Amino acid sequence: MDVLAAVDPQGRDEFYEPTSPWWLSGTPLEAEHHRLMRRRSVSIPWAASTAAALTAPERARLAGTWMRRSEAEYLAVSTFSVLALDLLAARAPADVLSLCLRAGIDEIRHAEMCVRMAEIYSGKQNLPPFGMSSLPDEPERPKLHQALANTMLVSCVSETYATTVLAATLELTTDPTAHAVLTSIYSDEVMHARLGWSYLRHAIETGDAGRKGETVIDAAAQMLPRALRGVANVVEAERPVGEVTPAVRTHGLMTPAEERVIFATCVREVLVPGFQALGVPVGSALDDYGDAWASAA
Amino acid sequence: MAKHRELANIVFATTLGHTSASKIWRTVVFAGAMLVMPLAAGCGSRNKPAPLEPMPVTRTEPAPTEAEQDAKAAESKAAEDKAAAEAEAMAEQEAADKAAADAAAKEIAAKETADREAAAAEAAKKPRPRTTKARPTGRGFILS
Ligand SMILES: [Fe+2]
Ligand SMILES: [Fe+2]
Repeated sequence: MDVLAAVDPQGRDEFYEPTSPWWLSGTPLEAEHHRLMRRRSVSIPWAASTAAALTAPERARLAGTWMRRSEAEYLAVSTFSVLALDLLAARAPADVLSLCLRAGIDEIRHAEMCVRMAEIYSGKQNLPPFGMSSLPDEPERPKLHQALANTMLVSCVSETYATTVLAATLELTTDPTAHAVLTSIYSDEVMHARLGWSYLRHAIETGDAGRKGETVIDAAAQMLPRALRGVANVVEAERPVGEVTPAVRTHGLMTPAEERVIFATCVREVLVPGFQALGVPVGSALDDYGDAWASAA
Repeated sequence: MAKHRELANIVFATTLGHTSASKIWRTVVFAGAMLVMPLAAGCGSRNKPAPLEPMPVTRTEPAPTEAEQDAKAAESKAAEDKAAAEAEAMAEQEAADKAAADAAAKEIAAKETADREAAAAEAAKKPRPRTTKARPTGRGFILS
């Protein structure tokens, strides 16, 4: 059964145009960069944006959120770069390595699309705000356990949550440009999330051979609450100023209250059943992010 | 407006969130972790010029006559003399330029060393990207 039949993360956008040329080097590298960036699932109809029909405060609200999205996507570039080092150190299989490194390239594409969206609403050609990943580094642990723990944080939890949010947001988005951008990002994030679940399964099956002491399952169980808290920190963070009007919602934006509901739903219906199916104890995850947390906004 | 948002929240909590979650369960977790199998089974356009590519050059011209060949020989002798004089002048200029460049390089190297030391001192104050101290920061797609 190919459940990803509808998603082609290796598609080719025949109508590609440079997305955020103001962020490029001005060297011949740009041509190869464009070849990498056009490898996406859907064309983006940049000129079809309905941003002009919004009020100035609505456009400012959307510009603020798309800039924050560009910051998160930019941060993910270094996150996957650091994760690749952990996976290399743990001698992860070649397909895990290639998918992880490709994810970093995908995140550059996402950051480019987000700054272009911000430009549509603000008229300003900004760069993504700078940020570097701070994945936990614990040299005294077995390398496999660190690689697995960070894969859980980055991929199983964060990226899986991202796909849930994107799928939900897409259902409300009618602006054609925002819809295409979100669809393009979604198709990549699905692969980024699957990477984690596949590696987790692989590590559980092969990782403990000849090893004494802490098991792979122990390492995964230890990481789970930290990973959930990490994403919850993002969900609980302050938002840009401005009301989320009905018109703003059609451009791919929801309220912080809704985001809490999505995260709680994701924990209950996706993450917890997933870890349980692989034999990873989930501790108090359901209580920590249950209805009380979801309605605390 | 507040009512509108409340309603949206309820609609989302009961339908959209659930639909998305079950979709993600199937496409990401179930497929990624191969849950269908038992676990024990093993398994700029800133108006920049486009990069140039060298073009193959092919030309066909008629063979020259004898008079044309003599004229060409005289011409090439004059050209050779001129080139020799120019080469001598260039060598002198190059020597002067090299002395100036050496002095500039020394100055730049000294400045770079100072900058590197300052940057290293600055970096030592901050935790590096790989650090045990920072707590894990998860990320997802920023919704709002
Ligand atoms: Fe992304
Ligand atoms: Fe991603």
